[in-house]
Amino acid sequence: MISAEYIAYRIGTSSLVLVCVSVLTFGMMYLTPGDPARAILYHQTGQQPSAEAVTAFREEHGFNEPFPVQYWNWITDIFRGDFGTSFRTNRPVATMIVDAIPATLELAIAAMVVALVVAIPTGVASAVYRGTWIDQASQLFALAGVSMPNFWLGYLLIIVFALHLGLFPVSGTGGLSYLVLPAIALGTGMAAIVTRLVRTSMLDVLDAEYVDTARSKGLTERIVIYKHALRNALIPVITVVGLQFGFVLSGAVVIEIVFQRPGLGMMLVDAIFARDFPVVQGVVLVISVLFIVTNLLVDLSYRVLDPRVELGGENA
Amino acid sequence: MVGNSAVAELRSNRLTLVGAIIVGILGFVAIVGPTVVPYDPTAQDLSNRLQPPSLAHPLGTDQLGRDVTTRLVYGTRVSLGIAIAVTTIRVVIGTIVGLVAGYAGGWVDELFMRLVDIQLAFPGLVLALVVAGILGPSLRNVMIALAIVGWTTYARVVRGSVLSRKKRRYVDAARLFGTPRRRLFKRHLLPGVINPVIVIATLNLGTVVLATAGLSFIGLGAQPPTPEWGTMLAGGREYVRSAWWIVNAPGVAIMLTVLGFNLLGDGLRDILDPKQQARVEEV
Amino acid sequence: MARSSAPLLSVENLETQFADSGGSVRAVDGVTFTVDSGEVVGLVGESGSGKSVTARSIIGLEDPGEIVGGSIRFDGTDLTGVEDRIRRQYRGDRIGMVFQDPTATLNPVFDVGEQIAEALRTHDVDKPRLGDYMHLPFATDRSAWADHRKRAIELMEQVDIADASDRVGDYPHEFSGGMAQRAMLAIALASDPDLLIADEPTTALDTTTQATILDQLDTLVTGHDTAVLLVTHNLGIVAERCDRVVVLYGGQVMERGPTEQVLTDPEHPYTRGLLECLIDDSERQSKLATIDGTVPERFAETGCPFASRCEYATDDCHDTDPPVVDRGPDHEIVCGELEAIPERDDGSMERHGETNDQTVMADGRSDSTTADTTAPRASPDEQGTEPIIAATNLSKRFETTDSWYERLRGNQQYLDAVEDVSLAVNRGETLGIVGESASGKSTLVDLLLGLETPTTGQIELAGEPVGVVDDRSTDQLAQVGVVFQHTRGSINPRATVEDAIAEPLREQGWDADRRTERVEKLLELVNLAPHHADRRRHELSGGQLQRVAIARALALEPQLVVLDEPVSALDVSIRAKILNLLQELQDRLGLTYIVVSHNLSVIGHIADRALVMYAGQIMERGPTETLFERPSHPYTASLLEAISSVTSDGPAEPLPGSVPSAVDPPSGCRFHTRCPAAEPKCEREEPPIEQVDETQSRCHFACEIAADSVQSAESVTDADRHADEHQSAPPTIGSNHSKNP
Ligand code: SF4
Ligand code: SF4
Repeated sequence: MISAEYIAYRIGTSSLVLVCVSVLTFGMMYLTPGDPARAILYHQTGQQPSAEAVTAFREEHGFNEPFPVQYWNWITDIFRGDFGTSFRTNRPVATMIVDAIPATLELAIAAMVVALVVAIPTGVASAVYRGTWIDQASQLFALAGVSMPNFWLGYLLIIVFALHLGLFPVSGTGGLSYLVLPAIALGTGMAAIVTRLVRTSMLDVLDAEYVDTARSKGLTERIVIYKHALRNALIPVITVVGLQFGFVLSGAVVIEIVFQRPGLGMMLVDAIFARDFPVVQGVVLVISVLFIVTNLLVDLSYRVLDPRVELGGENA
Repeated sequence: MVGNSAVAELRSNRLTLVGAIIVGILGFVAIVGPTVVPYDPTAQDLSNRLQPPSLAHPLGTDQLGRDVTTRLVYGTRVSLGIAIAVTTIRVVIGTIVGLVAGYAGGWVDELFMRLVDIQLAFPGLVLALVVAGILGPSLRNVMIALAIVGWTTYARVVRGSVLSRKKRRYVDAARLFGTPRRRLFKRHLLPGVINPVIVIATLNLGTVVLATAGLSFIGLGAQPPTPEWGTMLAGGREYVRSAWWIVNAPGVAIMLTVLGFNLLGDGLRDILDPKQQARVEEV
Repeated sequence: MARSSAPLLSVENLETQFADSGGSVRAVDGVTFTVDSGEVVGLVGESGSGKSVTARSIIGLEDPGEIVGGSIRFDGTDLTGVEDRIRRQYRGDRIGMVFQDPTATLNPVFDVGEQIAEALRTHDVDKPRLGDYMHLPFATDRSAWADHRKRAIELMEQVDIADASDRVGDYPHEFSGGMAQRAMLAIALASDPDLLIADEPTTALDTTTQATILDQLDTLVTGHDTAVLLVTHNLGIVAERCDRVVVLYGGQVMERGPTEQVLTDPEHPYTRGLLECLIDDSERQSKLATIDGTVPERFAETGCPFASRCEYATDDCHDTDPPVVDRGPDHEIVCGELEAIPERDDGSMERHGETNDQTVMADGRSDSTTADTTAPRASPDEQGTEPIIAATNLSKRFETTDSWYERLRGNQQYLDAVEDVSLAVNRGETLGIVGESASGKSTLVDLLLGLETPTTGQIELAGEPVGVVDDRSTDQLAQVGVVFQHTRGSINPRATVEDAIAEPLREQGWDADRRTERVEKLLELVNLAPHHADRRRHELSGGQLQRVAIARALALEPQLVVLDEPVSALDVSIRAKILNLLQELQDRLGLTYIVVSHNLSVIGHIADRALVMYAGQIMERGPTETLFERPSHPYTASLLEAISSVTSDGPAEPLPGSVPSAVDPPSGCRFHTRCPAAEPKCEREEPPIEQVDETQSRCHFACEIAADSVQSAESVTDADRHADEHQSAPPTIGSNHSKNP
């Protein structure tokens, strides 16, 4: 099953991926059409910068160094906790990120919780009562959920629950009440996907012979379903939930804009428009790390859940 | 249960039909719509701002007095065009990578799959967002960004299908008859790849519509005054209180489009049913 | 056997149906039988007979089917009439069940101890609560569970799982098939049930393990007066283990009665047909008797279900339900034409050759080969040609290292699937390769075919060295035809029968007209009708598919045909037909066969020479006759003893343990962990291959063992002769069989 050695191995491979990710993240700046320095200055001042200004900027930010050196400087700084300084606000990027992270994490986690709490029982009921109205209703919900753009759902929720009913605040951050609508807006899509997944997985499992074995022992249907079937049905779901966390992080960007929540997403979008590269790089790196770590944890918990997976396993 | 599944099949076929009809209508609107609608999608008419739905403007007008219906119709063309373009690029790249990796195996496979791993280490839309943002906000760049992000699914599925098929006994049998590699590939490996790709691509069309709208909503995609659903939604967000139609018309349009592709894709999956096939073949 | 007045279980007119697109399928159609406490009743039938559905209906697992009629009285209560809750209680408490495939019936995510403990707990608590079973803190009774786990260990010991206290925490995938089935047995017996239903409990297991499990079952139930309903397709097992037998066909009972009477003096045409198809003790390479036709997809509402295949069928049989005829105490036959059916040749089990000619050919085409089927084929040395295929020192090693990371660290793991195998097959002969799972026989086939690259060794085809498939010339490829195991998977689902058979022809550049012509010929050759050409694989029955595969293998007129488990997936009546067809084709076309099978009877029947493989090595080789009559290797002897047979004089002998993992094979002689004759030397030294008379054997004591088996063979032959005269009674459960040393 799960051993220290395997954990070390997974951390090793994840770190390798992280290195590649960081190179790409840093290199993104060079995707800018033309000279990044010129583009940045143009954005900052709003007019074509003079040649001297460009040279000075390049000098100041080390743009003249060869790429590997620039990357090395950037990454070693990061290990010292220095993500650079925002071109736009002149604040340290690290501080900005630390300020913004809680809002985003809070939202992402709340959305995941909403999604799982809704999806697992719905999916199970849908499979167990296959073909009945319960199944049809939950499939309808799932279809609507995957098809609905989350930002529009956000506005719908605002219109109904904030503007008309006045139950929740329209935007901003604060207590739990500020979190409810964004979490629902963000979690619904994921809930829909997971519902469908739980349903299919559960239907497969309910066909398995060990389910009949459990019944032949005289266990009640409840125990058969929730102990014997569900545990197996969740195994494929877990992997997807890990990948879905990426979906949630992406969605958080949009939802933060809808609900005006100052988190990583808003920060990223603002920085992109302002060509504030240190901020863009920092945020992308942090989001990727969050994502990779989640998937690492999911992978490890998957191994706890499914004893058949031996250590070493396939890393495809 | 067997009876139920027959009913379920009928039902799912009916839903598939609904999906096909939605997609058909959308296609029709995208092609013919712009020539029929009476208004110019970008012509501003400030005297007619924020008009609620009426006979002249079935879905009202927006903050600049443009006819929402007209913009919606033009937006269909934009959304579908991008969805088709992006999906095509994804299918081509992903399928080629998957085929090569699965068929060649060895280090080629290893290399491609590590590439996929790295790609997957970024949450999809965040990567697209950054790429589109840095390249500069425009529809073309959104297309490039989304294409870069989405090919991995195809690569993985195609590779898996090729690998599992390589192990099938009928492929061994064909080798024993002296079937040359090319034909082996064409006759026994490729057909198995096509069905799942068709299914995923159909579902993907919906996803791309969503993603494009999302990026445009943020401001990274279509730029005003281009009639694009995400942009329209963004434009109306100041007016949710007073002019609910500006936000909800494109919202419903997006949802219906995605729903159509989802229904169609699910139906195709049932019809082409790669899973049931796999089950039979294992016996 | 003494019977109390009321039977423990009495099934009456049971009808279970499944909904289907074309209406409903009557899987069980009016089945009646009883089981008394403490007795073992066999429920036999081929696939589609409704035997499993009957068993599942009794325990309440008929879903998605539905019981639509009849009653199931268990100890006085009609289980079809009570609410689900009561039915559930019965199955936990008083009826236990063992299923076919032990790798699928245990839940992969819970350890074995937990699964047994659950069964114990369910027996003890009145109202099982979810929280308790989920081991939720505060909701669960920890000390009770600990206690159940302790008892689970005891149960595991009772079913002979070695090191039970260590293995209680193992997960099912860590258990071998035999071991998992023992665990399943423990679960089924946890509540000390009155009735145990065993649905094909050994079909998925290796031959040598089967007898162990059945013995285990015997011992466990005899002590507790537990009745057993043994569902099986294997008449040998029924003969050895059952007191009474119920024969099903098309969801209806054909015959039921004491095993001895039913199996030794079958009167019902179907029972008779079934018994006659058995290879058991028919003469080697003789033509086997068969049953006409195939199981129809749908049975008519009225009439005898067997009428479409019965040689004695009259119009009455088709139109009216056949009467139940009483034949002595507790023996009933459902057939209306018993008078018309001739006596069997004085009840003897001898029955082949001419007497059965009329039953052989499905399409009525009389066959030209009947007369000479028993005539020996030209023996290889008479033909004096070089071997058609020869392999020298073939080995195949697979790397099983888990990941590139392990590889980098130098932790490579290997699996020697085939080790140092040499063989040569002469023109016109049949070589049989026998082995259990993981014996390396399938890899050997792949090597011979060129689908795998040998790690070492050399293959020669007609005297010329050949490489893998891609390196073989078209001519070389055409020389070898193949029928793969799992025929279904070897035919592209999208291809019609014609496409499939024509595929090799197309690759060889035949034009369309010639192909069509050839396909027609081939279909005729394998006794398929021309209209089968347009079918696809899902529209064909197992037997028909096998014929298509054979036709395809023969398309290019190969000299050698490799057949991998050609009949293992088929029902006995179909199996006999395919074996007959293979022999007929061999005689007609002068083919050379390599037949691979785990089934000794099949190899014994069809092969001239045989190889016995174990854990990648050849254990013994030689002429089939010698090998089967005077085995000089303990493994061969054990395999032979493990065969269940209708006519054998004792239950199959079990062999302990299971085939070892090839990743980490035992030292010395690979078989020493299970060998009844093992000496300390065997663990240290690997025995060389040694010549003993006509056979070669990889055993330190080959000569002694050969000498022993000569003696016992003689005594067996004596016994057989004896048996033929007096029809010695098949022993019943728990009786005179010796335990394994
Ligand atoms: S009733 Fe007729 S068809 Fe049925 S077994 Fe007897 S003779 Fe054959
Ligand atoms: S060498 Fe020893 S262990 Fe091996 S088969 Fe012979 S007697 Fe048995």
